[in-house]
Formats: sequence, structure tokens, C-alpha cells
Amino acid sequence: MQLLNIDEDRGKCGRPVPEGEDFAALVRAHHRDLLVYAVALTRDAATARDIVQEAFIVAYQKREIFDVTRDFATWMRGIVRNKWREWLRKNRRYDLGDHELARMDADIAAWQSSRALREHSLFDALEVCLGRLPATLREAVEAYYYEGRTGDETAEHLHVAPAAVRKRLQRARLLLKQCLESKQSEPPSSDDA
Amino acid sequence: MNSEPTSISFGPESVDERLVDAALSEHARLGRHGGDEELVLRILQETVHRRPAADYAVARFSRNWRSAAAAWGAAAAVVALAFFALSSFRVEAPGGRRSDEVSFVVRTDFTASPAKSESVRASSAGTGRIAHRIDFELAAGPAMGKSAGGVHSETLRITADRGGASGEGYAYEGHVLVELEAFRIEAASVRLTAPGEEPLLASRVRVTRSEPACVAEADHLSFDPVSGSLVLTGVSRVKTDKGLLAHFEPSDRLVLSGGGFSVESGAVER
Repeated sequence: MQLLNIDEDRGKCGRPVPEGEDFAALVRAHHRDLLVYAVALTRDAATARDIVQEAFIVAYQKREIFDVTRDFATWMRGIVRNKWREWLRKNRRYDLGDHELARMDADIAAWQSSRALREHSLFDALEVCLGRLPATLREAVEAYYYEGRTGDETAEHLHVAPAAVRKRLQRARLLLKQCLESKQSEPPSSDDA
Repeated sequence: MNSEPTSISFGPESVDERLVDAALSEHARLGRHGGDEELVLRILQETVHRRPAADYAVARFSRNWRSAAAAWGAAAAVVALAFFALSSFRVEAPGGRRSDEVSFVVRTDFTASPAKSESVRASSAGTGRIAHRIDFELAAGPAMGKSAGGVHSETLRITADRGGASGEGYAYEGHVLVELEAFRIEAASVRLTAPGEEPLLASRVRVTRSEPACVAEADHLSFDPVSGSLVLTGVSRVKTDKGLLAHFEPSDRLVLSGGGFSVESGAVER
């Protein structure tokens, strides 16, 4: 798998990114996917939001050089990635290697393509997949992610050992990933309900 | 994403889990269809709604008010000078969590009507007083639109001895009179300011509301765009048809709305 190295300055001879309300529509359409991507990169919600904000500002400032025959989502992911690298450098961190980053980028790219094709989002599919989780795993996910409990609190809530919660969350995430990938390969007309 | 008090890590261990972990966190935060309206707002304020500095320079009436006023009177034109934008909407997130954001649009159109042109001409040769008409528009943001019922707008008329572009806004000085629908504000100085700040600030003010009758005097005044009320600090006295209030702490805030007023006391220092 190879990471497309599209940076902020590529694509110099196309039509510019739209301005005004058209640009606002792009922000609305793409910010959540980019947030997921940035949260996955940084593992910090506040930093992720800052990075996404800065990325859109860069995109707006450089809209004149963007070639709209290219994919806007791909371009934005490239800017987010650059901003994340800046953040890593600034904070003297080392995190994902190129190979891992490429895999993650490929996953989010597949979801963005799938959304464009099927007109439903990553979150639509996620809800379907959550419904397919075994009850014990779903309980752990709900308590940890949706009810805002810590891992220890989740363990207490479910009357299991913290190590069991850790294992359940890990299994749930992997099962959800498999489910999400299978949803991508379904034909666009499939009924998710 | 949750904090971990013990040594066990409950977060993702592999890159395969990491994207799902992020998706779950974001889904838990905003649901399936919700947008991060606060983030969108921040982005739009820094991009499509960002006013270039040159916009302020559009203030053709110069700091030399007399000559500018004469030019105005001759032109009798409408000059759109500024467009300020913030947003105000309330988002109900899954799990009952709530986030409030503020949307406020101030559009200032400085209008020289024929009648005003006369007064400007007369004043430039006489008293030098100027008159501006300014439209304030309080706009509902996308999420607030259905529940809050759209746009509230109000026209201010400002008369002053001097005025014009100043820094990132406009300033008026010298027996400034601001007339709103519900209030009449007399002040030593008034500032209209850039987005992100309080749009209308005045000093050494006397505010008169006709119905219900109320007159208040204070050191400072600001306009709260969300509630449409006036916030006064350094209040010296308030007179209503029920009596006179003249004992205010320096930290007290007097909030004047169209229908009444309230006094908010500052925090008690221990």
C-alpha cells in the first residue's frame, strides 16, 4: 500500500476551489470525516479540531492553486496530514510510521469514496455495525464511548475485570472495522436498515 | 479517548483499531448526522467570512469630518461599509449534551438620505453635526432558525460631533446620540467594533427608555447581540416611574431590555 504524497502546493493549473457559500458547503460536507481522520492521527479531540480548522484555512488560502479535477477530500487529507506532522514535530513526538499512516489513510479514503457513491456516511454504517455486535461487546462500547465512562468505570458498571473490558473493546473495534469494510463492498443499493 | 486512571490502556492498540476508535468517539460526540457547528463556524470566520482589512478602508468619509460631510451631502448616496458576522445556534448533541454557539450579523449601511444631506450640508457650514443610520441585523444560525424564528433587525441612528473609521471599526465622539427602537443613548463616545467583540460600546452614557419609562446613567455601555439588551457598568443611577436607584457597587451590571431591567451583582471577593 502506498500513501499518496499530495501536499498543499500540488495541482497548480486547475480551476480554483469555490469561494463563499460553495466553500462553506465543502467545509460542512467534509469536516466530520476529517475530524475522524485527525482524531485517529492525534488521539486528542481538541488537537484534532485545531488541525482540521487550520487545514481548511490553508485550503482556503491556497484555493487558487487547487485543481478541482483532483479530489477535494484527498487534498484536504494531505493538508491535515501535514498539519499533524507539524504538530508532532512541535511536540517532539513520534507516532505512526509511513506504512501505518498509509493504511489509515487508505481506510478513510475508502470511506470517503463510499460515502460519495452511496450517499451515506461512515456514521450510517457504524450504526448498522454497532447493531450487529454481540451484546457483551456492545455494552462495553456503549458504556465506554457513549456514556463517557472510563475503562475502570466501565468494568465496574459491567461487573467484570478491567482487563476484560480492555479485551472487549479491542474485539469490538476489530469487529466494527471488519463490518465497516464489508459495508464498503456492498452494492450501493443495499438496504442497511 | 477517555481518561485512564489505572495502568491498563483501554484505547486502540493497533492502527486498525485507531480509525474505529476515532469514529466511535466522534459518533458519540455528535451523532450520525450532526455537524460540529462550532468548528464549522470557526473555519468560516477565518475563511469566507473573514473581512479583509481593506474593507475598513472603504470608509470614504475621512477623519476630517467636515469635508467628508460636505461630500456626502452632495452625493446623497448609500455606502455599504461593513459586514460583521458571528453565528448563533444551539445544537442538541446525542446524550443530552448541549453546545451553544453565537451567531450575530451586524451590517452597517451608512445612509445619507436627501433629508440628511440637507442637515449634513447645513451642519458642515454650521454646527458640524453628523448623522448616520445603521442597520443591525440579528440573524438566526442554521440550527436556531426553526426554533428562534428568523432574523431580528434594528436600525440605529447615530448623531455626533465627530466620527469616522478608527482602527478596526468606527468611532464617534462629542455629544453622541444613538437612537434605537426602544432606547435613546446619549454618550461621550461610541465605538462600533470588529467581529468577535462587542459590536457597540459607549462611555459616559445616559440611556432613556420611554416604555416602561427608565433613565439610567453609567460609565460604560455595551450591546448584547444575542439578547438585544444593553449592558451598563459603572452605574450611577437608575430612575423609573417607581423611584430612583442610586446605590450600585462598581462591579454591578445593569441589563436593560425592551421590557425591563435587572441588576447583576459581581462576584463577592473573599
